[in-house]
Amino acid sequence: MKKVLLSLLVLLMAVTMVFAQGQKESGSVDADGNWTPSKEVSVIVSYAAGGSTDLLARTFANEAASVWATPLVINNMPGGGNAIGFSALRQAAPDGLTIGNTNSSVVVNCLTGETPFVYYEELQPICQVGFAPYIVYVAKDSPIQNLADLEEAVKTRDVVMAANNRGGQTHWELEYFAMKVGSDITAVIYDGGSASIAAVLGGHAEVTVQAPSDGQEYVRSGDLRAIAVLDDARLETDIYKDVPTSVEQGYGWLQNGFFHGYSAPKGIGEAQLKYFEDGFKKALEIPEVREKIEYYGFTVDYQDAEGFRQVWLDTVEQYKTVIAELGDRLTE
Amino acid sequence: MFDSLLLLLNGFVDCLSLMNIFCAIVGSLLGSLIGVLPGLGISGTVAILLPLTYGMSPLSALIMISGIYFGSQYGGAITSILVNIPGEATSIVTCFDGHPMAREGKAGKALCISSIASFVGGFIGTLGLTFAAAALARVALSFGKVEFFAIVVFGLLLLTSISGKNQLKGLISVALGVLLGCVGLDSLYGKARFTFGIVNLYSGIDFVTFIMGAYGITELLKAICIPEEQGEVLEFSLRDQFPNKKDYKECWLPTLRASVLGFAVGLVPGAGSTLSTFFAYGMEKGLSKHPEKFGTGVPEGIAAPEAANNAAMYAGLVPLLSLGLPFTSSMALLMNAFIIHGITPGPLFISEHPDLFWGLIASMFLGNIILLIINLPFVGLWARLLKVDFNILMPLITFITFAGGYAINYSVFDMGMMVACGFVGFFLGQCGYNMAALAVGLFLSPTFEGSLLGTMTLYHGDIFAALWDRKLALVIIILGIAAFIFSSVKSSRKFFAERNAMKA
Repeated sequence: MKKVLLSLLVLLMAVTMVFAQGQKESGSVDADGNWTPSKEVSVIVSYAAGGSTDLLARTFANEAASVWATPLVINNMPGGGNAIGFSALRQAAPDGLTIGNTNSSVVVNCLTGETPFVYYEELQPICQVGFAPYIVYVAKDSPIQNLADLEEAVKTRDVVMAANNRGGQTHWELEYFAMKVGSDITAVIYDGGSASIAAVLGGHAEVTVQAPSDGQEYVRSGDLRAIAVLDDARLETDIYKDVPTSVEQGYGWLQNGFFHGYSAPKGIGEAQLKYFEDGFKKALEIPEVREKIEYYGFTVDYQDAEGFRQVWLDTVEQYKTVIAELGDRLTE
Repeated sequence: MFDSLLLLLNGFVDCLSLMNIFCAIVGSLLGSLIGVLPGLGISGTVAILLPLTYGMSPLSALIMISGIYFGSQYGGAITSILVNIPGEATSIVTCFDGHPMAREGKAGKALCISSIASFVGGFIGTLGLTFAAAALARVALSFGKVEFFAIVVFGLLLLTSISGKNQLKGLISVALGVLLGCVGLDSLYGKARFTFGIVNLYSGIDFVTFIMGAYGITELLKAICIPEEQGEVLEFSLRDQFPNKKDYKECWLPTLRASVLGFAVGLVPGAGSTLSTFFAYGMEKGLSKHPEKFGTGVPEGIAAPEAANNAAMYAGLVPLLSLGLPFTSSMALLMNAFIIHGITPGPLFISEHPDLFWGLIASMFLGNIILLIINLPFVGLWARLLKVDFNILMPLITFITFAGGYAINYSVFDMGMMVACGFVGFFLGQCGYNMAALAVGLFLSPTFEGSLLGTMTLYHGDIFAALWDRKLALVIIILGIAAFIFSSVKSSRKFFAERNAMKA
């Protein structure tokens, strides 16, 4: 009896496998060339569940569920400084059933650290949904009021800055600044944004560069002062609308920000790409989605696949120039 | 002070609704459960449950999520005591005396002591949070790179003497742990170290993966290779399952001391709660009349670390609630729970949302009592687990360990890593090296490296100048070195005395 049961089971498994093989189509394309996925789409997020990147991706899956033909399912693959998630995305079949979140790390990590492959060359951008500029903050009792003061301070005394990681996005701006004005700055590396802000609040460092969302509560309470938005346009929120940009202050060469967008494995079909481009674009018209994006400190800024690729390439250009100019200043 | 009491009373009014009490019970139960199941961490559970809280009021949601958070601290001790597998860094020290006591057939007693000590620690921690949160936040901020470096060095040195008999081997174990912590992308330069091109190693050796291997798999290997060491759990009488008068007498002072110490050390951002457990254990061992019995199942050896880690957990909330700065990943997750409900913790949180802050504090008092009530009745049940036939229990533990190893990052590679850590742990353990010291070394390695390099940058490479400049750090490090020298002299004397005795 057992033997019969067992062989039936094996047969059943074999049959399912054959059927599973047969169902290779990832979706269908109608007469107008519109692709519809056959099952849910997996979204690889290279951060642990619960972080801001994850919560934003979940916004597109939940609040924007109406724009997708089949649900988006978030698949968290944290670790390795995005290497694990990005590698999984590259290895996924380019059938439109797997996409992934790609933030600025897709470019920055390849240029400032070690990565298993060149992310920005081997992934296919889908679209950018948001952008945020970095902001320079100083402690409330620091005499520095603007970038000109910072220039003066860097030239005349030892200024200590707190950065979230070496060579990364919150470090090079002020090293570059100090170099450009012909001086030097002491950069101490802390373990992430909270620790850097704590260092400034506790008087261990005087200045730091952070994302607008990370600093805003401290600006509101008066513990930190925002002295410059590193972009050519001011932010529109109440807290930051009076903070002048680096361009306004005459330091136009000092600009940096970060983006949130989505990508696919290389080789994804035209129709599939269009499905996601259109989907994200439509999702951005939903008020709740826009609200969430702005809540996490981004400005809604849609770029289609080509536009997003251009953003990548521009960032690559910018970083290569900066890194070449800075030389070994970043690693000292 | 009086204002605080009034506000706290208001908080109780806010939090004592049927819905909130229900949320506190659900959260505490779930927390205890995930504390028991290794690998299933706070982060994963909270992330899964967050969407469920969307429909609740912010206070109910926060009560439920912080219940999970504190419940896990209670539950973490259970596996440490019963099967010698600590679920997280903060419960490693609980194994030292908890498991030996369980092996004597007094598992219930060990669990009771741990629950009551946790309750006291939690209660004192909540008191500290109630009356001093705002003032203490600035204390937490005064910790710079140099002070971090000093306290980590102190912790690592202390670790060599409290864990195990041979201090030299303890030192080697700690150093090995720090070295293992270097695997992966280094946090400072983003360079891959010791990864051999394996992408999964870029994120380093996960701490929980390591302890599940070095404790869980090692237990399994021991059971296979040296079955005679396992033996039966000694006689099991119901009377021994609850603490007696003598235990209470021995424990009350250490528990109170450890709670206060735990709260103070817990203010050190990040590694505070782990450090607090072995500071408390070290302190009790030092003050005890019978330090040689530590490690064989003394009640204060369980009470001290459990009281300390619970108190420290509340101290860890200080920077989050009064400044909006989360220093650990579970704190960051708690912060996200706030954010999802439209509240961004920051320096203005307490003044702008007093109802939430005090409601949350009141719920912590409530949660502590709930945890004690739901944990004590289970003690008998858990204790009986050890009476289950070894041939059934061991495969079950192995299964849970493997499932947990997979669940940390949903990665098969991690399971392999866990097995590898198990073999390493087994062989090193057989050679007398100390796994607790190794594990904590691994845990503290990034903090150690980061604070050392930060100190070097600030003082242009002159570490003595740094210590001279920051007197608090200097005092801490001198204390650490003194304690280290004192105990190494003592242990080498004992070593030579024993050798001479053997020769004679």
